[in-house]
Amino acid sequence: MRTDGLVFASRAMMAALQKEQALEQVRNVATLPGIVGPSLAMPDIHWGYGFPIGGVAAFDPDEGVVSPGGVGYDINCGVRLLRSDLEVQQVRPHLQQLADALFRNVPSGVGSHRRDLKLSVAEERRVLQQGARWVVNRGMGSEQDLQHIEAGGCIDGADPELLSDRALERGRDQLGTLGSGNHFLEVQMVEEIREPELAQVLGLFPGQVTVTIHTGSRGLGYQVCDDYLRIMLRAAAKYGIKLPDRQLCCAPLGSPEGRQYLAAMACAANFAFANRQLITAWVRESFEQVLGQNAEALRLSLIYDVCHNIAKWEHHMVEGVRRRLCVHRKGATRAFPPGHAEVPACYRAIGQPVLIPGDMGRYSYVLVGTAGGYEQTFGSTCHGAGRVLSRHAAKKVARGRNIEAELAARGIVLRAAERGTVAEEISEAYKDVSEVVEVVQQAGIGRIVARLRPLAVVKG
Amino acid sequence: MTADQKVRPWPAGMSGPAKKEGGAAAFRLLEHTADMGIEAQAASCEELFVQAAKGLLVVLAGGGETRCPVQDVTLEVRAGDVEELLVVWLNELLYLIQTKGMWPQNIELVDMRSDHLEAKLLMAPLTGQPQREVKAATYHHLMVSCRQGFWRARVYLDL
Repeated sequence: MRTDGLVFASRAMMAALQKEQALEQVRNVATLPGIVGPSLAMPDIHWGYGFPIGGVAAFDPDEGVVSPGGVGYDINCGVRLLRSDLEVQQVRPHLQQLADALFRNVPSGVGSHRRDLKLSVAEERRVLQQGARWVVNRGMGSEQDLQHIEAGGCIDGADPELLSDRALERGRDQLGTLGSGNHFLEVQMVEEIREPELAQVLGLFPGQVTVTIHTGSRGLGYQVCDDYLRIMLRAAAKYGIKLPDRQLCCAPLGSPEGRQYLAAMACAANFAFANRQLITAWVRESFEQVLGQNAEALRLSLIYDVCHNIAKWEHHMVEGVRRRLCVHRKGATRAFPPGHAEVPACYRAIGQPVLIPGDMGRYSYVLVGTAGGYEQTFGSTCHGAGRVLSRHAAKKVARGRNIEAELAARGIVLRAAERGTVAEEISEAYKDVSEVVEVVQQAGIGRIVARLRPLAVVKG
Repeated sequence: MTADQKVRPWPAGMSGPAKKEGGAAAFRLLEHTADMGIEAQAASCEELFVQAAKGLLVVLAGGGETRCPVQDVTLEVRAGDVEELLVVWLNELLYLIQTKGMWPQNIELVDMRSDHLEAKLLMAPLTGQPQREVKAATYHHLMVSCRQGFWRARVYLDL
């Protein structure tokens, strides 16, 4: 190990972690060349492949490496939160119709695609270079939306020439699709406000209706990761990098392979930003169809959009020196503090909004970044609840139960493309996200603002 | 084909019954908190790769009904070594299934070396989609080994 491992967890979480291989993965990341500061893990840490899920690691530009396994297959998987001016009692009578409209308008499930949207080769290249702006330029969103997305909805340096034909093929008909697994679209209500002043800045109030979208770069991102893992296996050998796990294969940040991966990764990240922006347009359209008012009247506006699988160039203070570092976040959210230049002006006084989805039966949280997080974790925090049950174990727990009816009894409407996915995604499969965010709060790497409760869930 | 003697212990935490396909060839699914793994065994490397492919099809959970006509597809895969070859092989199958909408009904490996394989697949068009999305086969804890002529493999899938 070249550095320490630092895991943010409660005593109970640590005990559970000993049973799986996530801690070994924290240790493996600590062996990578040029790592700066500790190999970090957020409180939603669980066993991943290569990096643990919830892993954060920063690398020096000269001595350090970039690893596709430190970003993951779903490049720029992320979350965005929309707020409305609606209160829960205005929406509850229409929830079934709203869930139907969202399920109809936003393709979900394995291999989902919109039959009416297949990008031409030239258009797809523009999506990869422009990200969310490509969607906004087609009248689906606003400049204000772009200001409320991490990196403005576009990572610089994207070069579509560096993507394989297969990656481009896989992306061409998947823009504007939710996908499957843990991805979801949720209509929620603000159940509790912890910090009224911060909530006011975010435009949140009790009983308010919000919408969360969780998805990423779909097949295009998976293919970029797979293509570059093969390149990095050779690069690691070429540059004499010893790997404790082949999934950690990597190349020096300054090498041609390292630079090319970052430029290809930026393409996939921009595809994901565009994906969430397009889904947002269809969410607004669905609300308009069901509630009979246009989205502007409903004030269905974007609070923020965060990436949680990404490697980014950022500046951080290390032992009193300001350094440019490549920060890998694998199942971790950027959480910049109040006053940071990359936090949108409207939130700069309170810190970057951080969106932490829980599970489909309980709740999600809205936090803001803190100075403590900037100092301890390179401005990072958790990204979700974190699984505790394997899919097989979750299905066993769900066997014989009617999950849809159980959710309905709690006032939650469910629409799902696959029944099997619902069983694998039951609440019991995840840690209680409230315990995760409490650890975040106590460690000072995030500040809880509000808790959201699901009203309608669309699962792939 | 011969292979380096590269044997590692079987991991703990395996679940589910082994799927016997006749003789010693089999696969079983491995527990993983977020994802899933496949462990396969066979008397030959060719059969080992077929078993791993069958494991992948089970993880994809069916594939729905297929409709005729079926189609012969020849697949050629190259990699740096036999472990990478296993990952590339499974990811090629995923591409055919998830992007081309084809489901393999029969898999035969006609040529196999440690860095190259050629397979003949009988593919049928899918009417729907598999029930579970698999992002990719990964290199995490990847293992292909041969001891006394008996082959074993382990590969984890990102779901």
